[in-house]
Amino acid sequence: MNKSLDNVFAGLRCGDVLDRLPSYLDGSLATEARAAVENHLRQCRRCAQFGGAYGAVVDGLHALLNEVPAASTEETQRLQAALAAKLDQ
Amino acid sequence: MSPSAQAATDEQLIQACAGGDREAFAVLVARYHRALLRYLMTAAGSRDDAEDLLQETFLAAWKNAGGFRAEASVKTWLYVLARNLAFQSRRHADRMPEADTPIEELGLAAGWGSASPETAAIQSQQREWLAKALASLPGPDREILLLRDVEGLPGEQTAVILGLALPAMKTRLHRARLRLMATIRKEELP
Repeated sequence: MNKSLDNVFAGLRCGDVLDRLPSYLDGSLATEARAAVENHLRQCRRCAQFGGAYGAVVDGLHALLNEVPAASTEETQRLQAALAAKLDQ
Repeated sequence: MSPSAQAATDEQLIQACAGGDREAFAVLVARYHRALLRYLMTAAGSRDDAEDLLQETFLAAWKNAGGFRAEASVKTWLYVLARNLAFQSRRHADRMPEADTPIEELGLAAGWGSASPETAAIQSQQREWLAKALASLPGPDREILLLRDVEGLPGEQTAVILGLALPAMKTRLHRARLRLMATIRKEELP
């Protein structure tokens, strides 16, 4: 498979789309720039596939937060007690 | 703790701390200790160091509450205190990734144009796998991915905590995500 990021679709190089992926995903691209990226993604299978994988990894990272167990009561109490002792010194 | 302290905003709690209100301090600690511990474990690399730094961070917040200026949120201020303390104590894991690798080179290593770019996506759905890949990255990559992507802090807040301008933060974040994808691709599905 030719792995050139120099291919151009909808007036944008694949390399330029790669550069703009973070802003595209966080919604901070201006309307015109966003439309240009979307047009490119509709025509370029490689960028569309990679963009999907990139977005899935970002989603997966956020989901890691749910894996963190809630603080135990003992843990919280231990920290509060340690801080109180230091403030009393 | 009184319902009024529990319902107070972060700014109200800090003002109360500045006045010596220990109950307000306890509420602030309860509100943020988990997120700060996660951050410090990432920044410092060990749980023992992170727990020490967590105490130091809250004590610094108590002592400096009177100097808090609402230029940033209390949450951002706490992260900045924690980060500064980690650096001062030399417990910040500051192994720098290669900064000059072109984005396009990182993109190719991350799977752009490969026959199976979805590999990273599939493996990222396996939490244990993703956590392992994240833990193997250089400290600055772990730090920015934790703040922005795991904790979900806004970009502006993440930039302030890291002492970067927003565009520089975005570039560093992009590089870190691509390095994470490349790391995931190096491994095989269990």
